[in-house]
Amino acid sequence: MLAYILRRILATLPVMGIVVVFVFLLVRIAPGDPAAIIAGDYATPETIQKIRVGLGLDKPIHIQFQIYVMNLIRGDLGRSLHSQLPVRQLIQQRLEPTAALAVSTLTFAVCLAIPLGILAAWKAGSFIDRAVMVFAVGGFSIPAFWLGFLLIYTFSVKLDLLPVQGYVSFRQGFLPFIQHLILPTLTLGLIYMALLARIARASVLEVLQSDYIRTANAKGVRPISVLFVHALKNAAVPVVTTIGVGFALLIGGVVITESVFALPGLGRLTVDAVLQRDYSIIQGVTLIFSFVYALVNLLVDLSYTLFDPRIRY
Amino acid sequence: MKRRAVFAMLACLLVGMLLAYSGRAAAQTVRAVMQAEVTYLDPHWTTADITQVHGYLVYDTLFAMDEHGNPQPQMVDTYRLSADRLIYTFTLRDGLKWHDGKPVRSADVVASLKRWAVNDAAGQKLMARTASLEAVNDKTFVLKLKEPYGLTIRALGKEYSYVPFILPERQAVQGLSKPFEGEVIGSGPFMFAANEWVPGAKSVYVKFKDYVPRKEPASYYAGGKRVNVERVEFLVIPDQSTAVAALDKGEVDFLDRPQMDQWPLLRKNANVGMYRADISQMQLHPNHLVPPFNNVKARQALMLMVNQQDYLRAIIGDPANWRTCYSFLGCKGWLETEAGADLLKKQDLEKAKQLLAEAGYKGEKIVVMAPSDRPTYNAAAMTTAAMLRKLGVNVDLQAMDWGTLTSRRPIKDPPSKNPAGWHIFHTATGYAGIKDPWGHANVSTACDKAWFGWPCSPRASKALEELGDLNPGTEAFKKTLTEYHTALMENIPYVPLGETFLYAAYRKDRLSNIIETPHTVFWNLVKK
Amino acid sequence: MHDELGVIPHDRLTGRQKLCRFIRRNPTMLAGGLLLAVMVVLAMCAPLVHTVNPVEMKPVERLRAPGAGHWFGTDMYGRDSYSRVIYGSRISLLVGLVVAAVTSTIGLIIGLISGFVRELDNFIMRVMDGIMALPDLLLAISFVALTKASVQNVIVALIIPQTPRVVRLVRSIVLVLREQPFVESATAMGARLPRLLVRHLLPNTIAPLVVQGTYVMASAVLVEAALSFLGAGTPPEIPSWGNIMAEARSYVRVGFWLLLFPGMFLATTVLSINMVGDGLRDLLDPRIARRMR
Repeated sequence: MLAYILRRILATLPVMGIVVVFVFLLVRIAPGDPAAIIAGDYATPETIQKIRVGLGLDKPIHIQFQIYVMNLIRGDLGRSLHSQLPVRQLIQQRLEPTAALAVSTLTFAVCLAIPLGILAAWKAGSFIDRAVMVFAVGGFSIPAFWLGFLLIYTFSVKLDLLPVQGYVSFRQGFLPFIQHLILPTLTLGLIYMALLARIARASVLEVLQSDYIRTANAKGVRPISVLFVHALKNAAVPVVTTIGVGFALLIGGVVITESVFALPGLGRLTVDAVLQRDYSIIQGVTLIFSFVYALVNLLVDLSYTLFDPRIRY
Repeated sequence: MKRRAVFAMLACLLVGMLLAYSGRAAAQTVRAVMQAEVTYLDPHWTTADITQVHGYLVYDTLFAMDEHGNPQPQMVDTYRLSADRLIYTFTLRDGLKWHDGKPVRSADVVASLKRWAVNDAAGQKLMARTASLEAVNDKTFVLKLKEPYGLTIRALGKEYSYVPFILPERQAVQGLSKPFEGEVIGSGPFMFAANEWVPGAKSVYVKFKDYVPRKEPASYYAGGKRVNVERVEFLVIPDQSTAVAALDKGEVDFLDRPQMDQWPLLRKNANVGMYRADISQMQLHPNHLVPPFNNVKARQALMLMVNQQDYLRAIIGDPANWRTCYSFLGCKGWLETEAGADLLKKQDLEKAKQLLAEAGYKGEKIVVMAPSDRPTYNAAAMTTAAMLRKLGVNVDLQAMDWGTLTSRRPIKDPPSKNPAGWHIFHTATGYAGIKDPWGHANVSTACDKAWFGWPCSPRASKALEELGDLNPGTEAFKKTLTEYHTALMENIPYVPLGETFLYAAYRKDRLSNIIETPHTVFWNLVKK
Repeated sequence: MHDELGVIPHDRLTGRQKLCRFIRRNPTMLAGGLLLAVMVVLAMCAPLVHTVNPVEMKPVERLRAPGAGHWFGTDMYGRDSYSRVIYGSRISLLVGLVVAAVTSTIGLIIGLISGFVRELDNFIMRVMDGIMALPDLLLAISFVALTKASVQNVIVALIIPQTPRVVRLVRSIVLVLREQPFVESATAMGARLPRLLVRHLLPNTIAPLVVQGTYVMASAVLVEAALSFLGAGTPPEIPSWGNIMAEARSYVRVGFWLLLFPGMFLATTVLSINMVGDGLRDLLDPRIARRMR
């Protein structure tokens, strides 16, 4: 098992290597000049060139890459071109809101979607089943930002129940922390929930039709026990896979939700960095995201062993 | 028994956490949503407006503009000009301290001015005429000119990018290829809370308790800077409707530049007050190096094509929020003139077509750059494209974000040779810049040393130089001003599209005594 | 006539009865298909169905509520929202279709090669993993923001992150199929690689590919809207639902109709595509389809 984990971690290294090179080249080959953006609207071309030299952007690409890789090996992600703060510090500052949103969305979606999916599968063909399916397909078709605005308009503006924007750390008060997270979580969570409910229903349905379930029913095992002890464990693998695959979706949704609700998270940091051509931040965040994604995939694969003892590494 | 005790403790803990909430901001904190985020902290290094706002909070200046447009001493206590008008002797006032407690010395001032003058147009002109700038002792420094320069004090009190803020000497001696290293230490009325700074999300300013304000009342950027609040927080809310909703609900107190379509909504709210923070001149910049606009007839065609009312209505809409102005130097104020503006006042599409043909336009693609993330410039670009099409021009309206536009602007080649080349772009300048043609980069006619577009008119440049040495109000001044403006109208460095008003919005029930400057200053205001 | 379970066997039904049974058994797919057809027809007939030139700006009429003459109201430049939404459907559907088609084709080719040619498999999958490691929205934003805002670039930006998923799907099918006896016997009979791929493997991949294609299309339409919303999508003078809503985001309280209608159209279109996809999946082959998720 340990050997498997190590092998997996080693296998991600070439992948991340490709990612690093790809992003590094992409940002530099593309049009858009961070030096011009930094210098501001009224600066002269000489000033812009001076800034470009100061940031090291006038050096040939392979030299820049060399410097970057050397720093990377030492754990230095570089400095933001615009604010001159270390990229690591910027990421750390913005990590909490994104993590809070991701965790709360995942919790919300999983806690609601799985029971819904099970219910729909159990009562397959009934009205409840159809309702859940309509919700699942519909929820997955709604654009996140549209839903976000609708929720703000309804709950914050018209009903005045919740704050409009912003993020409050739980260290500054648990209640405002929750209050500020409710609408963003609902926005992202409803969509994620729709996806999960569908998968949960489908895999539980498939399991419910298998022989050992029929045997359990024939033996007189209580339906709840059948559902949760037997069916769920066996249906878990595809569901957990979807949670992992949906993680990439989550990141995309986080970017939009942070933009709509003004949450100072990693998603917005990246979008701003792309629009401002802040190469260091783009490279740093992409690296972090790829690493986390690989980690999530590893955890998902490892969790299979919990659910299905036949799977062994 | 033990289990119940544990449960009870946990319950208390939970309740305690829930109760530990104090949702309202401290009464003495002002929460503002500014027009941009504070990312660059070095005001000599970038022209970004928000950095100048940041600068006014944490730094101080030798002179500052008052509400009549005259520079008044700020850090300077007294100053003398020698009889031959060549030697200025300045004495700093008492009590000036840096945020780390050390006193401000002339050495800091001298180094800062030299650093500021490297990039700034007004500073460069001053230094070109300077023989020496030296500290005599800790409180006195002397500026020796090579020839009399009437704009010296005005340059030292410049109110817009780059503002001559005074930095500590150890930072002012650093070069300008990178922003200065080290913490932000200024001598202004606020301190920058670096440990609370989240670039792109939040910046925080805390009252500097040891600041000694001047005795006069505050007037525009000048006078006594008395701070009546404890903290100012700049919050970044990227979405306009969210920002307005936040102001409505009281989650923020101040919106620096709400977008114009939110204004009717803001005006409807009884708790929200609005004031005119700035006047902005919209500009259409042709590329003087590229045909057909290298021929003045084509530029005249542009002027004849433009009807300021059409543009302003398309960009802004409600006439209460704009006005026409047929001058490069703004309407009303000490540089008021409309000399030579006949072409601009007229609109004649037939003649414009004819002039274009005479300039040699044969139907090639005219590239108009349109920044989709700047709504007013975008609207201007679209209006220009529509008008050009009416003239039968083959328009290539290229959408891009502002970042791409600023990176393409410096390109001088025609689009036929370089796909990143351009013919036309649009921008705007605030009134402070318009009223200062010596420092205003956009109107420079210095040929290849000019701003993007590279207008070239030695006649205008010469008239501008002469104007700088004359006293306003005199006959000579009026005559030279007319000559300058006529020269500008003949060269057409850009086409003025009219003036739009920019407003700030705030909670009337919380804030009062706000000083209505383009770069919002947070001293003097009071929060209930 | 009826078999043991009381069901009439399929080959004994008349044409009309076959149709009725089809409708009864696949209501979602048909409903979705119908909706989608309506959208496509609207999009194709845009020049006939719209009322006002969608790019014409009339600032005098800005921000009018829905009413006579402007069924969906006007936007901040005075443009007719209804016509813009109708024209916007063209871009959104075009982007969706092209992305789905190209992704399926490229994914199919690469997946077949990867699944069958063991030497290249490892390399291809590592590259696919690399691409999948990047969050798609970020990859798309970067691509479009760093090149130029245009419909072509948006399409390319959407193809890149979606292709690896199709590749994985095709590859997983090929991996299973190549162990099947019929492939072995075909190889034993001397069939060469291209023939194997085309005649034996291809037919088995078509069905799941089509279903996955519908999901890709739905996703492409949504992501295009998201891209435009963030400012890195279709250039603004070409109306697409995404950038119509992007421009409308500041006007939620001054003119919520600007956000409402394109959003409804977008949600409906994506919904109908998803419904068709689900229906197809249930119809074509439940077992292979289930393996896809």
